[in-house]
Amino acid sequence: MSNAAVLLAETPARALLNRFMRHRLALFSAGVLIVLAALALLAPVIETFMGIDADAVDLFARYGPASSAHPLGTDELGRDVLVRLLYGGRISLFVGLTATIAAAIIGTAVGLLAGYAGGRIDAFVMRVTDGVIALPVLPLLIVLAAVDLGKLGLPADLLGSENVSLYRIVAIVALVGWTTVARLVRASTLSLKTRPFVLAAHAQGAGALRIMVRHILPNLASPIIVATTLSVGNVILLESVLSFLGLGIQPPLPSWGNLLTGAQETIWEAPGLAFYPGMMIFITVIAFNFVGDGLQDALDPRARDRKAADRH
Amino acid sequence: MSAFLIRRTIHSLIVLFVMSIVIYALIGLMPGDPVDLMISADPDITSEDAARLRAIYGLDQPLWSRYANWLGAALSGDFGYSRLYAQPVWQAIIPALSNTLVLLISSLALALAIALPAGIFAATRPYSLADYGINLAAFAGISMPPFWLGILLILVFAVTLGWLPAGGTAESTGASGLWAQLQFLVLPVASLTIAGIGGHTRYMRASMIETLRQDYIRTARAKGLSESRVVLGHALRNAMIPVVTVIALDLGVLFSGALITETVFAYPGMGKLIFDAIMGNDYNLALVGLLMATALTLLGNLLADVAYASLDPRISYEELDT
Repeated sequence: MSNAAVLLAETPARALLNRFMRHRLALFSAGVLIVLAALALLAPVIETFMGIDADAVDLFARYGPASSAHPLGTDELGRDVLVRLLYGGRISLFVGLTATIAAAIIGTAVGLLAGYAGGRIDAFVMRVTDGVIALPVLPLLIVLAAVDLGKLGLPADLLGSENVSLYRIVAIVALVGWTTVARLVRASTLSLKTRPFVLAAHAQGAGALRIMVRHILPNLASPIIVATTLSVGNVILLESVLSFLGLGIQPPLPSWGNLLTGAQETIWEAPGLAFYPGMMIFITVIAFNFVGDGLQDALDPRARDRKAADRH
Repeated sequence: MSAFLIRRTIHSLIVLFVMSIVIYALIGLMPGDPVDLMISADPDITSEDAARLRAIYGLDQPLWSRYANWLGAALSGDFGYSRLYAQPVWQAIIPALSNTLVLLISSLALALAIALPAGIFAATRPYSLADYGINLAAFAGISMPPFWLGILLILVFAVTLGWLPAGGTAESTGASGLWAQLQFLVLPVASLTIAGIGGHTRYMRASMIETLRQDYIRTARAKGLSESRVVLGHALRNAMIPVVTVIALDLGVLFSGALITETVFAYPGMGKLIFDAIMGNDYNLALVGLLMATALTLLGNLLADVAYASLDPRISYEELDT
């Protein structure tokens, strides 16, 4: 029995889990994220269960205090704050995850290509990457968010859709967020492409694409996963800032960022409105950062002490 | 050294030039154009008038020729007229730039004064309770939405306690005016400082832990030097190299933070100016403001390279150039 336990503990997957478990904060944060995601997904159910309509305007119940009907009170239009927070979470989490994954895909493709091709392509791609990293991101994102999509010749039915601000923000964040992953992937690809197993695949006549996708990419999984998890928090922060400034998710679609847009003007009447959405962003971002940190420990023990030196 | 500086400066200027094209094109994609704004202000303008106005302002020409015209004027020092401020773009930008520099320099200095000692303290006691505490605080700092931090500060110090103004600037000048102006600076500086502490603490801690593992540190300890001599005399200078580089590289991040802080506190700096210019269709001002912000971050990158090579004698400028 004890022998079996020792054997179990020695498998790589088991050791990985052990290291992750040791990082209790990461585990706790993962739990928090699962609860948050479940609450956001179940928002319509909770809405029905509470007998509240999230969009129902009640001007007689503006800035209502916390009550049994409205656990967190009501907002400037008399809508339930709790239910709107949950709906905002759906949008904010959705944008955070999709934009990060999109950025990771772009970054992986760029990094693989630059690292594998080498030479002039590599030099050019890395110059562009350095250029993008050097830019003042937020002011440029604001211009991108202010661009009139009609002038770009996008189809009108897409522009008329309520969700256009959603797609736009995912695209904008993906457009500037790929650089970290690209640099990581490029650096690892450079070292992997001279390893014997890649040379062997080459000798067997595998094409460049096959070598990149089947032989190099699987070995890059851990750094990509770690970098991606660590950047979800930043993406959520970026979305919230843009939405707060009125350039991200457009009302009536709620997001944690745009719930705070009006809160500053009403801070004297309803301080709670300025508190809850920010708290949700804060909890989500810190949880993603802890999980990313824990994953880094679990997947790359050598990074344990170097981890804080990574740029965010 | 000078060859390196010249090459890096030329590289930065090329990036700035490319960015001027990109930003010019993007601003052309913003809703409306200057004539649309005139039409909305004056219902008597007919469509023929509008076409004539567009021809006068060159708006009927293709993008590249409009850009060439703008660049020609800009190189001779004419950046156009700001619609929002009703004065030449330069006159609107200079006071905003000096306000932003006051904000950036004071909050960066404060953040470093807190973060560097905290990072060193944590690094000398790795995995102790104090280290975990500092780490936790640093994580909280980097996970805090910067605009929400500003709102919370307003909530506590302006709304609840009523100690400080919630935003804006003082009108009065002179000795009492200076005090009033300082009051308006407290919350924006505090907000930007808190937002920056977390990252700097983590860099400092990581770099110091790495340095304390080196052989020459073991030698210093073996000589019988006190722990404070080892850390502050031998390790600190080496541990600072990556930290200084990161600080210079983070100028762009700092500028983004300033934009948020200035908007929340209605502080009249470059960030708020750029934001207002974009939102108010002030095309000339937005263009120059964005280019100034880009130039500032490129300068930060240049400084980072120079600092890196001059702080670390093992690295030559020639190596950095490749």
